[in-house]
Amino acid sequence: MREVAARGCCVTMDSFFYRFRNPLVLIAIVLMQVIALAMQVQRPGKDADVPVSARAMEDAGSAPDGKHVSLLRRWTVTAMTPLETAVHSSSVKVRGAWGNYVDLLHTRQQDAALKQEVARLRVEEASFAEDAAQGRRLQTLLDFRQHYVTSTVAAQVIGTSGSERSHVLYLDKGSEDGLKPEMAVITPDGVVGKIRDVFPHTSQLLLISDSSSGAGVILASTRIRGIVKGTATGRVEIDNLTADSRIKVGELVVTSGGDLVFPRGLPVGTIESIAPDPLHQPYTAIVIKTAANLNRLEEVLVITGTSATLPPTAAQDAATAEATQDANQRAADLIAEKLPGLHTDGDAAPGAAGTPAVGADGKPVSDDPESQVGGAVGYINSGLPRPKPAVHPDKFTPGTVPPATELTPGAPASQQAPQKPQEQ
Amino acid sequence: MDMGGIDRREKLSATKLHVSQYVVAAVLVVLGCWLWRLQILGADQYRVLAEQNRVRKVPVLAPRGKIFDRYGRILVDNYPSVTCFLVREQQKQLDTDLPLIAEGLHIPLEQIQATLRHFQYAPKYQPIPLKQDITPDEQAFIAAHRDDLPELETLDTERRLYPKDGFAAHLIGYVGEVSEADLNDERFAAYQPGDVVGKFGVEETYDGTLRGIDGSRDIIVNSHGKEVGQMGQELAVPGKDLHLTIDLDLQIAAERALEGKNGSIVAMDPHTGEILAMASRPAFDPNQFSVRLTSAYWKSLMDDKNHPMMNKAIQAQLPPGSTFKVVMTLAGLQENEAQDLHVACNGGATFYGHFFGCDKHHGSVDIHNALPYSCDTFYYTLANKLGIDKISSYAHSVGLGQKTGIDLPDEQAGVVPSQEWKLKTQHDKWYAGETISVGIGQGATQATPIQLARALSGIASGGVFVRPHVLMPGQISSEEQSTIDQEFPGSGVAHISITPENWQIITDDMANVLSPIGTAAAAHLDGIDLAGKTGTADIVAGRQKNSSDKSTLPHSWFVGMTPRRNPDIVVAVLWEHGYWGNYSAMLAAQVIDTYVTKQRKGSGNLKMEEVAVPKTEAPKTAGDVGAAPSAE
Repeated sequence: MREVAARGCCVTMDSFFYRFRNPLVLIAIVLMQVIALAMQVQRPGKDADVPVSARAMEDAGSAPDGKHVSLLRRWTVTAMTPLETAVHSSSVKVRGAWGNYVDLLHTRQQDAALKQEVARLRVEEASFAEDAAQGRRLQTLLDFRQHYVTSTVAAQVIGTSGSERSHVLYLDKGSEDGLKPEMAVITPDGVVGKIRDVFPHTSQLLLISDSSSGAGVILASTRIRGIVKGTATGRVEIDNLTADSRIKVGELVVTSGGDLVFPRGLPVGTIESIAPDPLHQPYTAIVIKTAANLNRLEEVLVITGTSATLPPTAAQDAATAEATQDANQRAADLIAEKLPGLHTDGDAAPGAAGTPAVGADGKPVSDDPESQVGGAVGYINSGLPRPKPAVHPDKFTPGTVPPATELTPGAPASQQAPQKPQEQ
Repeated sequence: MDMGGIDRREKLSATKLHVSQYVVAAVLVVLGCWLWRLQILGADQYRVLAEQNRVRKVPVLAPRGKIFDRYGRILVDNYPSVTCFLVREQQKQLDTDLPLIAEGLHIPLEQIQATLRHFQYAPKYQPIPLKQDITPDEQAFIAAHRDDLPELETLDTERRLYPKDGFAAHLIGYVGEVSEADLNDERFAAYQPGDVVGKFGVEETYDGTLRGIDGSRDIIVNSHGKEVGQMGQELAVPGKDLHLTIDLDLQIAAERALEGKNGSIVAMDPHTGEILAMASRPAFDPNQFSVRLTSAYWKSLMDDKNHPMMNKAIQAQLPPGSTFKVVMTLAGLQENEAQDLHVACNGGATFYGHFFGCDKHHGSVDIHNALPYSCDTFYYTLANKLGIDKISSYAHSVGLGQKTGIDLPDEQAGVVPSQEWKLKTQHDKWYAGETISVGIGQGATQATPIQLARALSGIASGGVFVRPHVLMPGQISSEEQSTIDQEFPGSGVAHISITPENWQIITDDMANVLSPIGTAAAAHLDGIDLAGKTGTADIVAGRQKNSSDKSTLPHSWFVGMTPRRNPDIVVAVLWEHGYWGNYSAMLAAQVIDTYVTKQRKGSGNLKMEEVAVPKTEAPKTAGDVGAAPSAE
């Protein structure tokens, strides 16, 4: 009996594995995936330890992957990239073949080269236009060009992230082509976004319209500095400026260069609408129409080289130009100038228009040493002023006050000086 | 055998199958019950819990109202300020990011590391403030690195921006976070910890009007606490802008006159009680209070023996000195004691066996020259005749010894000595000898500049006294106004009857203080009917007046007004350790000159071409048409 039972058991075991071979293999694979996933989840920081910034990466040598690249995603991306590239390139090839057939083979190639040339020239032109607007002299112009884009890599858009909320595209160039995270991505029209994660032959482009994007900008004609941010709805907005009558719809918005990602002077777009933001008082929501069409991106330029280090003299000049023209000032400094102080002229006080001045000559009493006499020794502004004479006697002139018997206590003098209109 | 084995196994399986069926059924029933419990019974509760997890209420701060002068010129503005915080909740290695953060925010790396060390034992959820008031470039840096430096967060705040140099600082006040002690006070019932409230001056009095009502937003957050959408909102109601009665031009003149000195100038319209200027020096910088007050700055304010935090216009209680003689004159005339009083001044007189000195030998003094001379002997005699009861009664009737009811916090009441006062405070009876020094505004008598401005201008207005205030009328509802009135009780609007004859005598006497025989002759303004009274208040009797140590010099008072009867403006000056009253008179003259020149310019009554030659005597004859009454 025992033997039989043991044999039966053995038979059962054999038949069990035999019978459920396929499901078991499936379960094992799923289990392995789950374990791998669990490992990933348990140690989220491990991959993130890869140096972050472009600069840091330069120091650390070549790091193949960007941070946050999880195991699963790496596998998926690696597995999918050839497929996606193949699909994309075959479709391009089919279209290309037809094109080449219709046009002439060399014309097609020449066209591509010319397009690249045009793209480069338009970027350059943008820099010159921006420069002219600032009215800088030749010296600064040289700095500007030096500070500007020195090399770009053209890349094709090969796929999207698939999520509606995130505006991430995949490019067909990666770390092997010299791309690094935090590089600015542009089209000849304007700014598109920046590189986020980099894989050997692929990279992620974070669009400027993504809700985690941002860039420092300058309104080209008013020189007001702001920050553009993407929103959940995909609009690009400036949300850190208070209402200012100088800001007009249609004004060009260019990058400020202050954010250490986007080089200075690249066009971002134009102001589409300006509306007060009731939820974020006292700021206004300024919607930007991006210069580059973010919905139909095919070819983009990744800025791989900017000369960040200027010659010392040029850097100094640029710094002075910065200080005098662009006013990278805190709002406090700007408003503080409008408030009165101990040394403010009565006339110069804001809103003084229409109200009478302090002194007849517009000078404060104490500034003119001749206008004061005597006073306590060792103290400023302690002397006696010399009143400007009146044309004709008025109620302040000595001797014009009627005797007490003719007056009502507390009543204003009958010889009333004209009252100034009160504002509000 | 095989068959049997199979049979048995099948039989066994059949029984087991039954059992397992029941077990499965039982499990299903249990699961079903739980499902019912979760989905139907507890549905509401769990929905609320889930919403709370998903929806967060964030406040929308109401912008605080701005403050303007009476003509709409700005005194206090707001500015948007951005502070950068470091959030450590993400379990991320910060060390590798620090060099980039240091570069982008322009902070030395060592400083960031020091800040992190300083906060290393603080709770993880507490954000670390890295830098306040960051520049647009630094904001741009944070915005452009939001995806790879999520630990950097910014907070927008509206900050108060006050005028420079402590300009009108005491009048305007400052704002700060509501304190623990305030929250327990019922006045602050509506406030939350962390709320910013007015703490001094106009900011405190009209906090309710200026602050507005904060709104809120219900935002939807994901599992990382990042905002992904919005559900509902309640808009903030912005605070109301306020217009003060201050005239910026006069305020500038007053601040300039006090520059480098220690004291206060307050200018008021005696018809309405509107404060035209209120300056107090030394001052503090209210901007230091609106950011983060450093303990070093606070200590420097507290250690300064000149009391920069005191609004001397309403809080400095000092002996009024000879300015009190105007009240004495009123009492003497109204009681018919002064009209025929003739005193021979030989540099003082003896009362009750004690010699009371006068600064000069004035010779024969009567009611017409006693005030211009500021003859102490005359007023010792008058005080002795009137007695303390009558003196204190008149002093009270013109508002001394009580708050004026100005709409500013912490006004001081001053002291008018009387028999009851002495019994109450010193548990001693009044000695007749003490009345003598009260007659010249010394002894225990104490008054504030605002009290003296109201009292003396009220007397010059024939007995009509006003309630000083700094808010232009018609800006708050009548309920709010009556709340303010109750919150700041005082002598307020009052009326006493003065005979026209006495009114004439007192006002002419005050004008003669500025005449060549008067104590403030040096402050005589050509072409302006300036009247007033000087005062020199000894700090502690017996100190030498000529010591080089300025802190032992007496305080110098002047209350001046124009025109002499029913004045349009009164200016009270207190110059601590300013020595003689005529020095203060010159400061008052600067403010009066500014006012009159402005009025004349406004009505086109100013000789502009005469500006270049101010030293000609022509204006004097043109100005003094009716020549001031000469002293008898």
